[in-house]
Amino acid sequence: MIVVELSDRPGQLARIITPLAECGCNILNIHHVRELDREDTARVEISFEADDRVNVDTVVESLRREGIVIISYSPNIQTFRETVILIGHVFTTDITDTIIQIANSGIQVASVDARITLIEEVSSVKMVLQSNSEEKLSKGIELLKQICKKKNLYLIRSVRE
Amino acid sequence: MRIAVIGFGTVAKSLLKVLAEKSKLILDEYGVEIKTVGVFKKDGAFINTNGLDLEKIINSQNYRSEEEWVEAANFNKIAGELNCDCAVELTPTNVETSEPGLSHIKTALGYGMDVVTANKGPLALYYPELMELARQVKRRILFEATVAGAIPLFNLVRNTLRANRIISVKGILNGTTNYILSRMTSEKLPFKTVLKEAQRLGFAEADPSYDVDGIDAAAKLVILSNALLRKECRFKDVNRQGIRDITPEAIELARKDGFLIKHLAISEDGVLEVAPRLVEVGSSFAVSGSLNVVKLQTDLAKDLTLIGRGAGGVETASSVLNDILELAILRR
Repeated sequence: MIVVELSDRPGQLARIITPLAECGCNILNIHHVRELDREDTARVEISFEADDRVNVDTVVESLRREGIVIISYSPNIQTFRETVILIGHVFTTDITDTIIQIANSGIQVASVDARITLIEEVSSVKMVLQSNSEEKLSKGIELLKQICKKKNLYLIRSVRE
Repeated sequence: MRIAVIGFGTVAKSLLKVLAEKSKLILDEYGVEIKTVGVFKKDGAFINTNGLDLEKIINSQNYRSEEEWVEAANFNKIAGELNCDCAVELTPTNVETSEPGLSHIKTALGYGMDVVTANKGPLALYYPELMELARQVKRRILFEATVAGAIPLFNLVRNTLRANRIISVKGILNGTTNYILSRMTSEKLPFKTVLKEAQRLGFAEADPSYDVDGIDAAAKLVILSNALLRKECRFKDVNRQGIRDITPEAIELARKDGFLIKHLAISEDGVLEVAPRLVEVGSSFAVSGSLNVVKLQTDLAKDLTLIGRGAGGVETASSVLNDILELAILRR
């Protein structure tokens, strides 16, 4: 993410788009932070993604050459995620407790989806687990494995290609 | 090249048929004459040290009356009399004792024969010991047909990926479970219904545990890990989870996010695992029906994915025959 300061007049945003495109960046989000505006300037946060070959310093340098004032910048924060499915008596073994245990380990449960059959039958729950660190995500998955073993749930993980 | 074929199942019969059909081509193309001097069944063997007439054996209606039939002949007892270069071990896999294959292989090596096998048991249980034994007697054991039938893996790495380090192996190594999961996905049917259908069609055995509990895939994974990843390991080292607990609801949940459930065998970072996994719909593991797929991650050639038939008499015989020819060429 890069935060820049632009003069608050028409056409300024266009000045940052071309250098970013030339560096091979794909803009994800542009946010005008109005509360940080001064009299005649606008603070703008730009989030972008690019492959490993693009260095954030090169991108910043090319913006500076355009005369753009850089307030701050940081490399994109990567997100690691894995989709998993649990099969078994997910509800009678307290799915909320399962989710809370995972969340407490510091990884995010980004979404939960379920197929419920009769309460006494086995059901399926799909979860997307998410973290900004690959290591944390692996630890979360390890914890989930232990929980599944304890609660006699059948865990299906995703495969990394 | 004088060979003895041990076993008389689908693969052995297909091999004899292919040997009969291709003998001229093999002689013309590779300058190799393959003479089959013994074919061993459970209750005896066809023996002719001048070479058997394979067509006659395959088509024999009453084999016991054939003049070359020796009642109760056992390979372990008469191997020394065969003057044989190569034993082709094709008896059924047994992952508990690995017999009778294990004894056959040891006997063959003991008499200075090379070995070609399609039997997973001995290698899944005793890979390090058997390779050490072969090294001591300066003979080779080739086993392309033990994993993924017709797909060349060991030959590929040995002959065309020389000096590459294999980092990981991932794949679908059992056609029956892949068939069952594919049908459960396309027809939204429960496991038990599809299993019955597969048994009726002859795709699954009456006792399906060998396939659906991942025993077969685990044995193959052990051989791949020993041979390609240079990891000394055994059948008991595999974390194994079958497919009996998978429900149509779970498959539907996966589909909603663009995933399929596949029974994968994975050897990576020293861990061996056979388990159902979510794979993306467009991924190289998303093959349907009874096909096998193997993905090798290597340090120089990077990723290679092979898809093909993992079973079938002629398909497996193709791998066995190639191993026999490789040994024949090496012996010249």
